[in-house]
Amino acid sequence: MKMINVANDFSVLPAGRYVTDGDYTGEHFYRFLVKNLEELPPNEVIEINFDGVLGAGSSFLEQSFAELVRQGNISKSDFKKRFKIIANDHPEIISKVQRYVEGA
Amino acid sequence: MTIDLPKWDWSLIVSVISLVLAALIFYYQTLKSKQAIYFNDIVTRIEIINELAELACQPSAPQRLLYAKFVFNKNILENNLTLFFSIHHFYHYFRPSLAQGLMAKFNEYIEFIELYTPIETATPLGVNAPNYNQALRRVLLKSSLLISGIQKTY
Repeated sequence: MKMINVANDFSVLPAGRYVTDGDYTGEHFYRFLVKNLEELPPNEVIEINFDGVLGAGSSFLEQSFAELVRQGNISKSDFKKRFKIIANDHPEIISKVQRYVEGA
Repeated sequence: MTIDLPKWDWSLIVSVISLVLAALIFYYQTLKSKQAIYFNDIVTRIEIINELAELACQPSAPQRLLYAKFVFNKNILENNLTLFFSIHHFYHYFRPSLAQGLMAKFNEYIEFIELYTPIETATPLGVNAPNYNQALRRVLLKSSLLISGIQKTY
């Protein structure tokens, strides 16, 4: 299992949709996730831990996770199998990611 | 044969009941005072968040600075809402679904601002022209619904 701690490996305040919005946006994180998907074996689970972040913007979450489905990097059913989201401090992040991926 | 029943000291009983009632009223008033403090702060934070959303709609607004202020106020607002409901014993123990429903309304309000106003991104969803009046109207409507929902429990 590959573990990604967003606060340590990316930013404590991930926000924004496109790269023009800042340095740690959804588009940046999307590219980061695509790189991980390409490098890892097809069945390996990726655990993304949001504990420690001050918050995660809705546009950030929508762009990074829903874009994976929109661009065909992963199917909706595979997303559920391969991604495990942990967000004890901000539990609403989990339901948002699920909704955005379903609606992609 | 007669049985001696214990004699009640009525003045003592009345004093104890009065003390217990006074303690209960004091406890209730303290809770209400705390709630009033949290409620006032909740309204203030919502006003600030609405203002920040409006400011973000201005051209050349310092977007990243506004978003940092937005997150700061959002996190305090979330904590205050949690505290408001945790000291409201009736809703905390007997109707937790009502508090959960209002927290869901809060999340919906914040999510709408992040997705449909330029506070987080210069290119929010559903906006083709730089006219955010409709989005701002909905922000105000959602914030009013949230405050009135809390007021009903208060």
